[in-house]
Amino acid sequence: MTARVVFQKASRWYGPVMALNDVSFELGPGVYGLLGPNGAGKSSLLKLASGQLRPSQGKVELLGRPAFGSPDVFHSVGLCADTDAFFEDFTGLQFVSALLSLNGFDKAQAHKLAIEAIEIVDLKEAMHRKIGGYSKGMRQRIKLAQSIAHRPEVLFLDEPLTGMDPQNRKRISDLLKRLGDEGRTVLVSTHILHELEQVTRRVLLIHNGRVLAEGDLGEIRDLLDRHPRSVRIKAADPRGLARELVLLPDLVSLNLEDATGHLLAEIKKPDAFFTKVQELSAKHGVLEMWVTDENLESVFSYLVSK
Amino acid sequence: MSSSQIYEQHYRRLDASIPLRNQRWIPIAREGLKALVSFRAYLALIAIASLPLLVRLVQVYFTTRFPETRRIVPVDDKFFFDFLSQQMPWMLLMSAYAGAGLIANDMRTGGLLLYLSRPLTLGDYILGKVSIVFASLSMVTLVPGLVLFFGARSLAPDVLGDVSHLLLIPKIVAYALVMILPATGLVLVMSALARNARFAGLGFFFVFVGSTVAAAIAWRATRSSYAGLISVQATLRRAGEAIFGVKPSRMTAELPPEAAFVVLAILVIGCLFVLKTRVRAVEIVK
Amino acid sequence: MTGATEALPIRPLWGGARDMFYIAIERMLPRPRSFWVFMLLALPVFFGILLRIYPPKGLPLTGFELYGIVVALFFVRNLLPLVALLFGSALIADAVDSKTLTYFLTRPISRLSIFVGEFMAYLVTVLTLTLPCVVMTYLVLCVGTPQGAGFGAMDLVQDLGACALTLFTYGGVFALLGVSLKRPLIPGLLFLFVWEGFVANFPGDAPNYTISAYARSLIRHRPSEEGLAELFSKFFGVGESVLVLGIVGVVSLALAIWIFSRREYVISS
Repeated sequence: MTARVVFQKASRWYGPVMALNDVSFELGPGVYGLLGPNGAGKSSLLKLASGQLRPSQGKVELLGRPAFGSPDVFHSVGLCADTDAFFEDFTGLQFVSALLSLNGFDKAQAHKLAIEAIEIVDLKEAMHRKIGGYSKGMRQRIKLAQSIAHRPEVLFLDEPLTGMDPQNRKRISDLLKRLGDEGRTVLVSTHILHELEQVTRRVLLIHNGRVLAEGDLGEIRDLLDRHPRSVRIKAADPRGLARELVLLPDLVSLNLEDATGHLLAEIKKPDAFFTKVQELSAKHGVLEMWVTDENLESVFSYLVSK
Repeated sequence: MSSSQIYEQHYRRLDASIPLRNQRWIPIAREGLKALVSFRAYLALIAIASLPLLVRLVQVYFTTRFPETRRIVPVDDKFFFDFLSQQMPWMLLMSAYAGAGLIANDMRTGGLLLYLSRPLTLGDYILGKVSIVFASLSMVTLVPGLVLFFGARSLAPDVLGDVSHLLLIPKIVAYALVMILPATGLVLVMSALARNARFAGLGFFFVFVGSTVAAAIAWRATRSSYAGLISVQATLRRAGEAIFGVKPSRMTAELPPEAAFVVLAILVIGCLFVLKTRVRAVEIVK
Repeated sequence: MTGATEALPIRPLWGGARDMFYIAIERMLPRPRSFWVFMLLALPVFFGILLRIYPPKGLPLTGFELYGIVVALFFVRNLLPLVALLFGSALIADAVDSKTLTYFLTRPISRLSIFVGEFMAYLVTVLTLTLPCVVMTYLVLCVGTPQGAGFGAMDLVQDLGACALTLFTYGGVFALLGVSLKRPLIPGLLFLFVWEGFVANFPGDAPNYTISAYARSLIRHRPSEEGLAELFSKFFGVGESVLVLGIVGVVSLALAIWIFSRREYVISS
């Protein structure tokens, strides 16, 4: 994998406050989710990655060059920051075109690329209106448009879905997936966990300035062997099934949910459990079975509590 | 059959009316002043603006030790008038520091909406902001003026100990108010119009400096005392000269003091009118 | 293995600065604050028109003398330094306050390009607001009046040069202030009114260390001073003044660029 973003034992502090602590990871092509609670260090990480700040210690590289002090890399890098800041008296089209001109595009090219980017974020009808009159969602979309207009290889997005309605969230999520499929490196910081899961399974979990885990969500979950898995089973005869499952030695707990009639099991060895349920499926009418805690929220909660 | 019942708790409209509290502006003023006092620069500005007060008290002390110096530095009405007039630059600096961002920052960040979503009127908001500037400017004009009077009175009771000298107190208060009110109005108007603290502060200085220079040029061109009415500073000074009964300066020697008071009153009323109309929570962008 | 992709080079200084200039001028010039500054700078024009319509009896000054007072006192000594403080200190500080600096710092242009583009926009803005007012003042007060006899166009050209150099020098100094300090307004005002206002009129060599003394020396037909200033004002030769002002402006700009190039800006919501 050719790493485009490299953090090597990078730390950053603001006076006595440690924002990032000894962070090391590499990002290649694809979409990565950056997840952490407020104050975890996500914005600091993005600022270091996008060259706005220099690390207090360690190294941060972007496309093979130090991120801070290498403006040439920004031909291929886009940033959608979390600040709600614009040239309020510019129209949406003027705003994106003006920033494209700073990338070295001539007027005609900048105009064309700006319109393409604005179309992608579905703002074409409002592109001749001043940004000062935009709604929150429109402002977020025009900010996104300026970050993708020059077709960057690497894209940093800090809370890109903030203020967007569900339709636009879906549109942007699909866009991010598409960009990842095209081989670009996309690092998305967001709190909307279930939407991040729609976009990517590769995550970077950060807490108190430290990286808790990185990689595929399922693989990370597998690594958490100390924590039992939670499984939900929908069956025609839940009580009968429960009577047989309760005898399994690796079962930690078994609950029958009154409202739904589902069985909720916590198990240590999922493979053996799944095999057993399969054997019993015909006898007790097993209709559905799924793992309930192979999601970001559960994984994160486990990691934070470690 | 049981008479007990469990009632469903759901939204109920409050039909009672709660009257607005009195003195709703006080929390705005209090919090604004607390925020200012937490800045070292604010306290430093007050401290530096108090240095002339110390110099003047030392002067008074010298006149008690060496009475012959009273011919050079008489401790009379003009002494206090000169002191307050010399505090004007500090008053301008304090206005820019304490007042320029008061309304501008609220309008820019949407903070005004937070105020107006409380049981407050726009008048309460403006009164609260006016109080902040008024209190800050008093710290560099009215308070030092009164401290100077009482300090000088205790240092030189033979000069200022007479009951008739107590008339200096209302004169000091009156001149300080004449200086503070227009400055307060102007800086808040700039803050409301500029929406940026730096531009508001500089706009305030533009008005003071620009009008003073324009008046100086007009006077040199026409030698008419009415040219002084163009300058806010010269008009304030003329009003002060009338309050203390001192000889007017060359530029405004023939300007009737009533004209100065009228112009200042129009300025203050105009500022209040502009504030009432311009301070809005929502701006329509065309 | 790190992906050291074949990157395009950083944009040349001139190209980046030019594009920054277009963005900055759009944000500086056609704005309400520029309009109000223009109206303030045009006050002498309105005053001159009033004098032409209602000439007072026994006017003690000729039109040319009055024009000289306006240029020396109104423009060079008082208003232009304030204009420079207003626009010069806002060069980078404005982008920081409005949190739009991030957009510029994440483009393939050097910080030098950003600063040069902003400063060029500042110069064009302040010259556009100021020079027409000086020209109009001259036209209203001097041309077509008996009092304007003997006045040459060269003096106007020199005055325009003096105003431009004053704005350049003060602009450099206040740009340095704006880049170095989070709140440049009060220090800028203290510099203008304490250092430039008082020290420039001190006896001895103190005026040598002020910009104001050199700037007013450029106005050859300056009016006589009044009061204490009449006793202590110091004037320098035109060549010496141009050199000193130029050096001060360039050194201030160089320092400002050096500081801006190295500074980190923590801009967060």
